[in-house]
Amino acid sequence: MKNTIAKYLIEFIVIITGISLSFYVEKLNETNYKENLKNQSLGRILKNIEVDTKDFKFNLDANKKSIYSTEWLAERNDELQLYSRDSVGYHLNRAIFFNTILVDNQEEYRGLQNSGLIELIDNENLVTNLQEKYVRHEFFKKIEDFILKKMSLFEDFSSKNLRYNSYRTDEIGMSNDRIFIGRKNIPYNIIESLKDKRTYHNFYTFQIKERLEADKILVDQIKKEINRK
Amino acid sequence: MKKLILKYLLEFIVIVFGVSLSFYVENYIENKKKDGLKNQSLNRILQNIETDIHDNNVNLKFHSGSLSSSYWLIKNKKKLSNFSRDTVGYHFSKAIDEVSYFVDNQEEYRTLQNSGYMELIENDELVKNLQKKYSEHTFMKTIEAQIIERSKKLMEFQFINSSIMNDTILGVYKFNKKFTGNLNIPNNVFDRIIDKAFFDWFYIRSIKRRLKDDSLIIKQINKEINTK
Repeated sequence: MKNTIAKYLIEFIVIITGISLSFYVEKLNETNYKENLKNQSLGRILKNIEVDTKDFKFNLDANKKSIYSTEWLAERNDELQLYSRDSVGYHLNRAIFFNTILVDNQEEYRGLQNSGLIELIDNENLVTNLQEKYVRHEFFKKIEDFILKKMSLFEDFSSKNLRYNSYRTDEIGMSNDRIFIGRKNIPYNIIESLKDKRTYHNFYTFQIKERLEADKILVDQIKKEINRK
Repeated sequence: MKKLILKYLLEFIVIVFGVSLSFYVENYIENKKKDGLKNQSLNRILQNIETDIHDNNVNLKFHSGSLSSSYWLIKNKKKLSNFSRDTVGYHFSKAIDEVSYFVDNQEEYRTLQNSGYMELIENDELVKNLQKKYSEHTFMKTIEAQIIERSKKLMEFQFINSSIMNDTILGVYKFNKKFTGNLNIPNNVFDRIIDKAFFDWFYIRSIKRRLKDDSLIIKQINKEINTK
């Protein structure tokens, strides 16, 4: 009787261990597969962040030019007679029309989110920072919309007071050769509206600079996550 | 005792091997099924891309026509009275009215993305290019919206200064308008035309790039589908 019990017990242990081992190997394979997919996805997000960084730098440049030109006009408005119509037109064009439209590539992030692979990311801060990044992007788009709406306030004034000299564009591809044909000085309410618009440009550049710094941290965290063993 | 150990060891190996084989077969069948669904999905995307290419070619024609009429108007702005009012009306109509509304079918791509089958695509470049394609579509639509906005600003001038030469409301819009206003056109109208032309030019550049990239995606999808 004892022998029979021992025999069945051993048999039972052998079966359980055998099946458990198979399940363990299967699970290990699946986890490795998913881990690879997660890393592949993070690698693609890394590439998208590189593109975002380029776009942000472009936007920063365009917005800085608008801010500079607004300040140039506001500081010199009482003595605009001293400056050529080309210079006034150049700065007025930049102050009004140098705006940006951010179109980011969120496809891979959304893919990572929908596939559930985001749960496999070990570093909780990385997950939070990724989520924060894409929420921030929506906020940037809202500010940009606001700036574009502000731009439309100058529609009437610019069509009466600016004229294209040529199709020439500057180094970032924005047309910049316009001449001022109106009366110097620029009306007070236009200067005030430009200053108001500048406030949003300033806010936008501040946000972008912060995002660029945060993206650097994100890049480090992603690289660390990918290389984690 | 040795025999017993050997027996249980053999039993253990048989169990591990048997269960693992079942898993393997099950995974194989499942992967095969998923691969089939992925290829079916890629096939549908292929058809959508062909439609996109057709639409983009139409849009390219529209915006190129608009851009060349804008150039014509700017070049001849000081001597418009030398031309017939039909010719001037035709170019104003093309420069102002010609806009496009790009409506792409993203349904299959979104399904592929949400089903997780995207992960089964072996060619990583294909995945990147598909993602780039659909995020670029958003950008192109934004540019289109800017063009439409600029076109709207010129509509008032167009309505006051031109008349449609035939009364038919059927068929494709033919831009046969006659310019009826004063040919001494204010400069701000030309400035607005330049402004729209700049976006037309930018949009044309985006379409051309997209057409090139779409041809590459078609090749990559065909290769992916035919991979054994």
